[in-house]
Amino acid sequence: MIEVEELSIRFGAATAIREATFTIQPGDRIGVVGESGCGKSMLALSLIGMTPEAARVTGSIRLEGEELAGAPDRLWRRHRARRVSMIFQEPMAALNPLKRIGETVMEPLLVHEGLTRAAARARVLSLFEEVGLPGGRLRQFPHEISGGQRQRVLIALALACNPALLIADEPTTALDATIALRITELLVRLAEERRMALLFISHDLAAIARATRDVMVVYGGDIIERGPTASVLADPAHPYTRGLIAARPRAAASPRGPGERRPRLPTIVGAVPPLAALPAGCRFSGRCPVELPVCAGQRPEAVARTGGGGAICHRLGAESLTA
Amino acid sequence: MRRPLPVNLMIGAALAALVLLVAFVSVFWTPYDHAAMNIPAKFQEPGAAHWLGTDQLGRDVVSQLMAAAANSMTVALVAVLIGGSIGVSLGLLASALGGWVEDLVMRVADIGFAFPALLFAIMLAAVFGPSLTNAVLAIAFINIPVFARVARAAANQIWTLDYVTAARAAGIGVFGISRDHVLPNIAAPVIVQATIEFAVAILAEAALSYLGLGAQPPSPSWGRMLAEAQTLIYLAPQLAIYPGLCIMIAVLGFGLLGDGLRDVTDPRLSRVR
Repeated sequence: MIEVEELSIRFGAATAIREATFTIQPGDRIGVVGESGCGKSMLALSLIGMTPEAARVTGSIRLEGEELAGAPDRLWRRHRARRVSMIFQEPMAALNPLKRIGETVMEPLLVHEGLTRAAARARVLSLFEEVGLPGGRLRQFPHEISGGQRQRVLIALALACNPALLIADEPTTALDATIALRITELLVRLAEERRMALLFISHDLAAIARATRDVMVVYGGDIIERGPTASVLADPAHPYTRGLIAARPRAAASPRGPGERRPRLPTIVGAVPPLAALPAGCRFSGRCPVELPVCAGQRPEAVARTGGGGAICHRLGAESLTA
Repeated sequence: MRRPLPVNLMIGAALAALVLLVAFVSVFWTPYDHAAMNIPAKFQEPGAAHWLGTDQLGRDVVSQLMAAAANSMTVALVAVLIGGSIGVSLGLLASALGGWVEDLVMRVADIGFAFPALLFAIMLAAVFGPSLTNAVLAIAFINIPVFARVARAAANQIWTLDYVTAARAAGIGVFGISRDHVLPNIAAPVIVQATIEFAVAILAEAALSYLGLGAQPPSPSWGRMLAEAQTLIYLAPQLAIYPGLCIMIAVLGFGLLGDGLRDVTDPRLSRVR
């Protein structure tokens, strides 16, 4: 449905995404994981044609066969809401404070589907029901409802025109844990019921594990590992993925008895370098605990993982050669 | 806890309401016909029959001041509405499209700023003859760049917000977003500016009428009353003082109201009280 080939996004000398290639099929639920500033959001925005004006998008994005990489906004507009929709991180800020929430959700229906107001209202009511909002909320303003409900409104807005792909950019980050869980479950249910593809972007591995079947791990603009979510999380191949999984906070790591000290949370050494200062070879070189001399200068090739998918790492290449 | 309303807002609102009320009443009732001359009763002192006396032609001063208020308010309202709607539309357009359109609109607005209103009114008067309509057009014209600038600055801020991004992701076009999302959310600064421009328009109308480029006799105007009283300043100074006071009250009222509204709607700009 969406075929992305060698997609690169550059800002002047800085590279936000380097030659990403992947496809999304109807019904896929794909997670994108990585630290802040590694290009996750830019990747998502490129799939809906909303990268900032300064960004240079090269490569290929084919949406149902139509080539859209670097296409002008007016071409993209025809596909937004109807083919690709997106929900955002901050439900608090993503609703117009002066518009009733029902009106907000109605807008794309009036614009894209040319429905009458009465027909659009009926659709909004059924959408509200689908996302678990009482119909009585239709005439309320954003300040009258909670954060979780606002995210539900935004999901209803994104689903209004039955898109084939829903991009969720950190949809649960701004919500508290129990609400986040419900929203994640809602997204999975909607994707299954509608046979809609879901691209779920998060740095919350628990949410990714719950929401997705496949996952892409992004670091420094490269997709450094991909594969079935369960396999990647249980048996990470790339040292970065391993570091990411080791660095997640766990209840089991809490002190077990009186006097016992809480163990330190493992971390990945260093910080993501600025996009313009990324190493030319493996993006992770410089922070990698198992770095080889070749890593900084030469880009590793993709190597198949045992559980399916693949990873790009010189270590894996070397091991597979010796094995 | 609610903060008390600022003093300037309350004084401004009171003065502006007074002027608007007088203007409204004058449409239905004035003590005398404002244009009715009564030469034998000229230069009467203020008294029971004529509250503020009569002028050199025996016309009732209160009636003239009231009718002039209506004229002044109409001119200011129409001029601000025309200038405001064109200016806000241009500002929204500039902000929505960006790029060379934005540059063009804002540079033309800069030129408009450099263009004195009086000069434009004199030009219009020279071509079409002096009239109240031309005065309105001149004042409206000078308002366009002011509103374009305010609207664009406010709209540019709104365009960076998440709900605009969400609307774009829902496939709403730039004009739809400008109308449904940007315009309602820039209403506050635009209304503040409109109130301030209302005061400016009252002053401009008075100035143009004073110069004979606005209201033509017998249409009453504070500015024209001032001009007529000028030659009689030693004989009957009160005839110059009354319209002057009216202009002052009206301009001060709307000016303070605009400032007060700004203090309420934009806390960042409010002075420390």
